[in-house]
Amino acid sequence: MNPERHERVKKLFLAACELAETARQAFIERACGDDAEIRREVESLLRYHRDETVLERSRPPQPAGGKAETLATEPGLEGITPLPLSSGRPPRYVAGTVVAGRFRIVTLLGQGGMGEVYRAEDLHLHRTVALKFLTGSRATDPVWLARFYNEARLSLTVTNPHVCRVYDIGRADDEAFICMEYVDGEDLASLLKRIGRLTAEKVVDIARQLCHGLGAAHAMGVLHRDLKPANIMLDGRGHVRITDFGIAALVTPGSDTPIPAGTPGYMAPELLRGKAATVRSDLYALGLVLYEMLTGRKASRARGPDGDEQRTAVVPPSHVIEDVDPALEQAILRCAAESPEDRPSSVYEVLALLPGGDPLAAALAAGEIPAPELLAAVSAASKPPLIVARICLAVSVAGLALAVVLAGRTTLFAQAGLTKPPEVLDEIAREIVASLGGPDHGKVTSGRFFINPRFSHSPGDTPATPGAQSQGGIGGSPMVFYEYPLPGGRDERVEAFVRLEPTGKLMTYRVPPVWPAETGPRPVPVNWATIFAKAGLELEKFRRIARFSPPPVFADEVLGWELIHDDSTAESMQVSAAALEGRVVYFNASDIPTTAHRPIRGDASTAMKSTRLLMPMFLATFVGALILAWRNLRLGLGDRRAASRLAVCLFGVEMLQWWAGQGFLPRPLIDVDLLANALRTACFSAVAVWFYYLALEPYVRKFWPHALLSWSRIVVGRGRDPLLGRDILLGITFGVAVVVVGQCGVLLSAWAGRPSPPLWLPGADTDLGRPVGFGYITSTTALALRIAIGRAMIFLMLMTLLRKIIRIPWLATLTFVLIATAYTALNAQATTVTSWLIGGIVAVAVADLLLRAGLLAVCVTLFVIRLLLSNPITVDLHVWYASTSTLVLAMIAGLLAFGVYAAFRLGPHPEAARG
Amino acid sequence: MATTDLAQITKAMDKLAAGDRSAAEQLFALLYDSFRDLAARYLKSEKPGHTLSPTALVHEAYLKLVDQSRVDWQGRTHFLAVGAQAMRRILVDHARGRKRAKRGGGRIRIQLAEGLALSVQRDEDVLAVDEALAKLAKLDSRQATIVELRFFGGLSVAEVAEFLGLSKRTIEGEWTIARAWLRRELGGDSPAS
Repeated sequence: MNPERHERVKKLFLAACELAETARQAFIERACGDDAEIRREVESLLRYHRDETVLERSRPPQPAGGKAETLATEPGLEGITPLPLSSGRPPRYVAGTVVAGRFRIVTLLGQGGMGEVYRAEDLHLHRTVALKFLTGSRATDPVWLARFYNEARLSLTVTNPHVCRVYDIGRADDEAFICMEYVDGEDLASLLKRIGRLTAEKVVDIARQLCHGLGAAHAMGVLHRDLKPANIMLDGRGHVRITDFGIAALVTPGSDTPIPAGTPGYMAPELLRGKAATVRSDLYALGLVLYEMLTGRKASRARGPDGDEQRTAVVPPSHVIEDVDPALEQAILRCAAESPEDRPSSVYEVLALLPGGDPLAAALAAGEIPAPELLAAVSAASKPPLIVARICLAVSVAGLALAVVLAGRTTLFAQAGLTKPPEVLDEIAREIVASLGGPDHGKVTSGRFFINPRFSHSPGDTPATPGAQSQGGIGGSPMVFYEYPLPGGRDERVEAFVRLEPTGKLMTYRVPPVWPAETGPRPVPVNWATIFAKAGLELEKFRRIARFSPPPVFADEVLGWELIHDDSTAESMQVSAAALEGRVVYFNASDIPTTAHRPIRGDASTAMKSTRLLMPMFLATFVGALILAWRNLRLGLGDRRAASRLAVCLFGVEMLQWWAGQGFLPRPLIDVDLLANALRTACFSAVAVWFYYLALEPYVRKFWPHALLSWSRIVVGRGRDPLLGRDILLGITFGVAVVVVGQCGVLLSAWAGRPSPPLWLPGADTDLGRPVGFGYITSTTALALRIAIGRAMIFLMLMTLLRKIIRIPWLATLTFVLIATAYTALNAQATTVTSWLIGGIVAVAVADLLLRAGLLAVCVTLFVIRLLLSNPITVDLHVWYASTSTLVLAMIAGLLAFGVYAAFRLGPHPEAARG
Repeated sequence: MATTDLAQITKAMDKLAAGDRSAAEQLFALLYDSFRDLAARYLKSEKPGHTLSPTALVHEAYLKLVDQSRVDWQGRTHFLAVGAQAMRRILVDHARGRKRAKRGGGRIRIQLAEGLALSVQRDEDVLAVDEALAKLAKLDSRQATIVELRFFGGLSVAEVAEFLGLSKRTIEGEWTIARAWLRRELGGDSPAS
């Protein structure tokens, strides 16, 4: 081959190029004649010729022929391949031109469907930028322009190292342009053209970066809509950046058609059917991109057996290439699933699906605040060792049995001596009222148990357990039974009530005075002995006294007695009574403290003081929470969905508790005031929780995301994974263990002669209701749930705060234990050694659980503790509250069963369980 | 960059614009030195595996070395054309030098004319391109020049046409066959289907 012959080859070649492919062969044969060398040369060159010029001409003059399309027409390139510019169009700007007064063009980077992309220097900020001119982009169409600016504005908000930053948008010479980060590298499409396919490690690496970039955009509500290799840039360091967020689809020709824009090859099936783009449609495109990186081929769709085009599936990568990591293949196929429901719900789920590496650790290492979805995905993918769940199961079952046995001697209900069901006490109260000539209102069932305000306990007291209670003493039980035979509730002015000991002995009787009829029979003198008998007292053992606290009623006969001391008993008792026209209107038997005056716990003045102290503190923290919540929302950090769900959930639980506490009566329809009050309270707590959660949760997520793993799984609403099961089992185990240890403590101290109060003792006058029936169970469960979630949150925030302030972990934990002990002990409102002991146990358990398993486990623990301690638990199935006891235990057993199901059934065979 | 260099470059450009062909060689020598400095500094500051884009480098150099207000479209084309030659020489010398030194890792990727998406990863590839161009120059020096200008200088078809004083259509034809020829030379046996 010499220059002359080359010249001839060139002429023939160019002439052949002008011809249609079918006509070429004939032309060459005719023109070359028998010169085989020239003919071979021309044919060889023609084989290497790609017909861009012809393509260029056949295309419409509009910006048709995007970069991706050009590439799509040239498959199978290998090695070093020059890919020419479409040579027909000179670049609009030459180097050195200053555009929009601030960008100096350096060089043309490329021409594509979007328009021309230039490398330029920002003269104001002295940085290199990429300017993307949207050639022919209907920049004069105001509707289109508005859409474009809107999308660009949205993508301006996305800041992530894996998203090509959009700096600015502008217009020059009637062309809209985007000023964006200049990425020194090449796009994935040309990389794949150049080197075929990538190794699995590289695919996973790029996939992770893509997930983080997409995740950041999705978190800001920006969808890419047109993810494809041509929109993914790789710089020299292998750093990935996604370009053209939200804009590409707008600018791609044909975007004004009803079919959403995008590159058909990467569009999710539902988009092709005209549905709106979603996170999952972006994930579909991601799946196809990963597929292409791994196999080097575009994901081909095999027709379904029925030939229906809508039911096609991607050919698994393992059918295309060998040695595919099953996890990677699974991740790709999940993303590329035909139905959006089958795809992962978020990029974080994709991250968790990808083989190797810990996405949470990676996010933390990158200094990001992990998104709640990431936590949920990590939780879903985790496989905790089964041994923990097995131990938990064994310990909690055994502990539960022990706790039930011990409950008969240690809990409030056991100590209160609830020998008679509320129905019987109702009847006793009715009898007393009838026998004393009080108003008869028929069968009443309004009696409820309350915490006895007169019951107090300090180490020097006489034993309060029913067995040790001395004969004739009254008011020794921690509970009392109030009956209100007259309507009027607890209104002081018309107060009429009967107060009984749980055993049925009369403590207090009071009815409003009624004026006798003018012409009635003469009143007979009151027989006080019968009334004393109702209280289980003998009148002979009392002597009249002159000084006593006067009854708070109008009466014409007012009397006071006092127990005559003898050597056998050291107790003292005062009885006061009043009658009007021979009818008893007041009777009250009370034991007088042998020691000096003891303040009654839950004193109104103390409550007022603490309220005065707490209210400003609460207001201050609330204002702080408002500010923080606002800040977090603005920065897109707050988990709005979780906060809303939590708030709605707590609102519902509180309302349910209130309504169930009303016995599911249609009272809401009657007592509008009561309903309004309940609604107000519930609303307030819901709103407060919402703000607190938004304010503080992001910090927990930032500094200590592991505590929120299974919790976010619950919040996301698809909570059924082994980690969740393990956390529930751990929670139950710790709860049961705390109860058992506490019970042992109470028993030990009784054995040592220093009896302690029951493990759970709420403040004076706390309404315990009638602890039997469906309404009670619902109400008590709802309350337990509320308290458990609330306290667990407080503990979590406290621990996070301490870990943040005190950098030494053990010191932070120790401080937490001390504070939590004090909190629990003081909250129990009984400052005894035992309550501190219990507080300490709870605090240690909570601290350990928080560190080990996180928020959800602590919630479960507190829930179980509350359920076991604040409800009557018994092994005796014949007592009247056995049904309540059984139901509570069944509830815990149910929770246990769910934990076992999640931990074991979903643990070793996740695929089988899913299928 | 010493100011004397800048002054000399400007002077050479002026001479070139005035039609003094010998000034092109002078400019070449000047640009070779300054590009080498630029490229060396660039490579030193960047991490291994980074992509070097000669076209961008040439354009950047043009912005840095030449007083924009004094140079017209023609002068710019001249500069870029001479720059392209200089750049080709630098890349080839660099590849040869490294090959001689038998240095392993830390290789850079050279991307020839970003828009052309021809990227070279191995020193051998640079040399292969160079050799192919030399071979082409023997058959048709004009085609080789066009490839050089487009590859190493990033000149558009219009700019090449202007520089060589030929019509755009001629350049397009030459460019088409040169590409097919290069593809065959570089792309191995299997033709693109």
